[in-house]
Amino acid sequence: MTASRGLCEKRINWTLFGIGLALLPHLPRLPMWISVFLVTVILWRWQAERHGWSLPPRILRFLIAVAGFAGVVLTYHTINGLNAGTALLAIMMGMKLLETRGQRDQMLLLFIANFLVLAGLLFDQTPWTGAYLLVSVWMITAGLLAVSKAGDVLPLQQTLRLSGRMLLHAVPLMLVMFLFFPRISGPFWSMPVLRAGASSGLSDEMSPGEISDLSLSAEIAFRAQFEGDLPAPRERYWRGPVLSAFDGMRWSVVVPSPQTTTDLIGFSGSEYRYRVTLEPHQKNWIFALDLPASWDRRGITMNRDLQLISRRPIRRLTAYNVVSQTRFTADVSMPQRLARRNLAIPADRNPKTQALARTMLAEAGNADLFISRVLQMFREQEFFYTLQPPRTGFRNGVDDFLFESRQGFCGHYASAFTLMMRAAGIPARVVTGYQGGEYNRLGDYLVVRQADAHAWSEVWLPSRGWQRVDPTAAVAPDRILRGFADTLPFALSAQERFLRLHPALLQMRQAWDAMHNAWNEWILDYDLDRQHSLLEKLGFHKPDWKSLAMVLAAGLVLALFFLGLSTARGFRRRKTHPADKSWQLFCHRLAGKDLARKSDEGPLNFSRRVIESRPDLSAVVTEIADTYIAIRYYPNPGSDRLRLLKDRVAGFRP
Amino acid sequence: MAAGIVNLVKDRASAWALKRQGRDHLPVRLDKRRVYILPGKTGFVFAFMLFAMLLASMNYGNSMGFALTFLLVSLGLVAMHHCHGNLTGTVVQTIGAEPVFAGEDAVFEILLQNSEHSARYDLRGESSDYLGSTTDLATDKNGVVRLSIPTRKRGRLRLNRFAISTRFPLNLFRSWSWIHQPADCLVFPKPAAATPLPASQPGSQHDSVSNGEGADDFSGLRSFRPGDSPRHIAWKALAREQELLVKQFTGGAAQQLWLGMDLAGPGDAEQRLSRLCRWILAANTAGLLYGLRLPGMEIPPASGDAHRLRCLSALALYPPFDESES
Repeated sequence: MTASRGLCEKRINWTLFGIGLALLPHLPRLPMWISVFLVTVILWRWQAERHGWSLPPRILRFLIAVAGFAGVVLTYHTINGLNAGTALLAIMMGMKLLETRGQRDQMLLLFIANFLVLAGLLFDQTPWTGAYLLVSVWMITAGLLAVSKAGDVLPLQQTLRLSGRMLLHAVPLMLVMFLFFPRISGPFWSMPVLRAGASSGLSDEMSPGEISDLSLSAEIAFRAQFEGDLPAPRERYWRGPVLSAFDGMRWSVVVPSPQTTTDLIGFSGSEYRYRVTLEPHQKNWIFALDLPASWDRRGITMNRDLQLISRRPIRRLTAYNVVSQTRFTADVSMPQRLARRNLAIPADRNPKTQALARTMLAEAGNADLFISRVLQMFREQEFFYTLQPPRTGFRNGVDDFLFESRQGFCGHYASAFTLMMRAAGIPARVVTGYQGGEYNRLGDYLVVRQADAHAWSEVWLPSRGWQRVDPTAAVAPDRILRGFADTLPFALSAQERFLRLHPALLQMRQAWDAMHNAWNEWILDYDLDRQHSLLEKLGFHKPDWKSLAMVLAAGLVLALFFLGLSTARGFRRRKTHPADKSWQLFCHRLAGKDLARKSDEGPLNFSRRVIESRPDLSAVVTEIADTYIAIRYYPNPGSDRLRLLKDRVAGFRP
Repeated sequence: MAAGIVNLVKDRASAWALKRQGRDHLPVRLDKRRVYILPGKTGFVFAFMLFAMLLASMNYGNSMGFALTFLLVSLGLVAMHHCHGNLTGTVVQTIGAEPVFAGEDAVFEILLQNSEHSARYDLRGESSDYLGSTTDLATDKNGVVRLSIPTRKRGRLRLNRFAISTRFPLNLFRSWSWIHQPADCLVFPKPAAATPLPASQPGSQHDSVSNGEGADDFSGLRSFRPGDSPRHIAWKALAREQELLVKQFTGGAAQQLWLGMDLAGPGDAEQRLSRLCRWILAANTAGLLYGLRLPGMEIPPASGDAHRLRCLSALALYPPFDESES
């Protein structure tokens, strides 16, 4: 296709613009050298087309291609996976840009740009991304329109309008497919870990000091929407990994933990029904209010530590419904092996703490009193809750904490308390998870952030089973009742502090989060289950893939029918010019007097003939005909002429 | 092999279309019944991309990925409707071609009319083997698309049918409509290399120039008749706002030039026709009076473009035969 240079330039500019929009969200994620390469290539190509520079010779392009490929392999050590794949795609696009001239190539580039937009969604699916997606798809479509045009490229405004209109026309069809296309999903090939190492949130081990890193993070862990009442703040314990193994400093999860059922657990207390939307955290943990009695999602089981576990790591937003009861008795008859595990402590570490525990137990006489004495010690002696505790020694960390620094946060207290229990012969373990949650009034749900991460203890008492004890509550009751932010305002990040000083801003954040939540619920978490419940609402009794296919087909036919109506030109009626209406009325009135206008007669000839046979009408007929001619055939008739014509015709009674 | 199958399918399809639609008489409105549409190569690439996007969305269970994929699928379907609508309703008014010399391209000009309230873009004229130019038609506007077909032999180049097609928008689909209206282009012989004109033949027995018109001496003015050479128009008289007058010259019969096969030198008939063609062009340029004699026909000497056309046409159709372009 030969085209003048100006035309080529317009097309290339559209292509570059579309590609640029698709690449933009990837730039921060890509390694520096790729981003620099791409930006350079795009800018260079833009200028090259403007100034008519020649494209690099084949050998140079080949060398750049080899270097790019090698660079990706060296950077990622693989060419598989989302990160490396995206990088490779982006580099290939840059390469193509260095040689492309023809329309076909440019269309291919814009197709790849669409693919890059999709790749961007695999990294990030926030509502912002959605808005950005719409804009970039619109621009890419406009680019396709401009590039695919055989003749002159349409003016900018028209290109934008037509592509926008086409996308709007596409929306109903898209909705039908979005709602009813069977959402078969699940990895067909191995899914790469999205952000290696960046998994935020809790870990499967704890040494005091680690959770404090999370405390500064306003990142959302999950949201929970309750049917009915919210649990009181002091009952908002979200159970996560249970740490039973202790090496003197570090608590860690014992794996594997076999599956169990809730049948043997005795539940009491009020029942809470809620839906959790869990942000991806790359681990198998499912968070639920302590303690979940039932849940709806397949692939979630409860392990021996009473923690919910998903079969697959949570790599995308996951929603599940849970029923929890906050009082429970579990493991009333604990197997010997489990009891032994929950009593195990290294005998030679933290000797002072062990001795203290044994002394206090002897003084108290029974376990209940002993536990409350320990809590009383935390409460009444000079223990402080702080996120910046002094460092403790490694070997006898708990001793250092209990007898020297006496400053720490939930991890320290839970660790010290649990160790004392074990030393006194009471099976105990550390439970980590989240405590609290901010209520979002707009969306009517709780937001639990990483800053709400918490650790507490569970002790096992004969005939009562596992009981939750939170030593932090003894030291800093506010932490439990009012949340982390109000307890230690100065530990918050500057941004968070600023937010809390201005309630309006905080409300804005809540509004934003409520929108986010709706987005999660209706867009991101839409899956086969939701499709089925939608079909049930539509009146299908037992929806299966057949009913889904039926509704999909019917919807598509309907949408296509309306699409056909709106694009078919035959149905688009031409607007009658208002002057024509008056003129037709005028002719109609004369036709009633045997002066019908012949089909080949223009207004001038017709009026002459009328005047010939009806000289009495001469003045008015001349005026009407002249005005009509002026309106229809002169360049700028003005609106007063139309008014005049209407008036005259209205009063015209031959 | 594959090309053979494609051609077979094409032939069958066109025979079917002819049977279905019958012969046409311009003007023809391209209504829904006769507008066909199929995805093009780019469309298949697009579909492949959509399939890959669907797989990726499924694999990652990415809801927004699904949304994007479905949006683009729908966009493709919308483009299909637009492509069909872009062509449907166009009126093909006329088709015609100016005569050309063999070896040049016969350029068929197809006049299209958009009588509807929205613009049409990238309408293209095409034959079975050749693609023509495109044009955009604004609301209520006419436009011309040109279809160039190379010529090899003199005669009448016949286009049995042609199509109006469009790939607008997005190039994903191609919709087209066949028009079974034959159109001809007259192809003159290819002019031979410049050869001197044969000598004039004074006092020829076929001197039929009865009014004594010649080319030499100015003898007066007469009013313009169609076919008069523009070089004889009395421009000065026209400038004086007189009517269009033509300068008359008297010249001896000596200036009458007779051209014929017998004078056209060696070679076969085609070569001689080529030489005659060259002479006619040269004589016309020189403003000579010339006549043409071919076996079985005779064109009396005259001058002017109409005469030139008459002579060249006679060469093109001697002896009358057709060359068809299917």
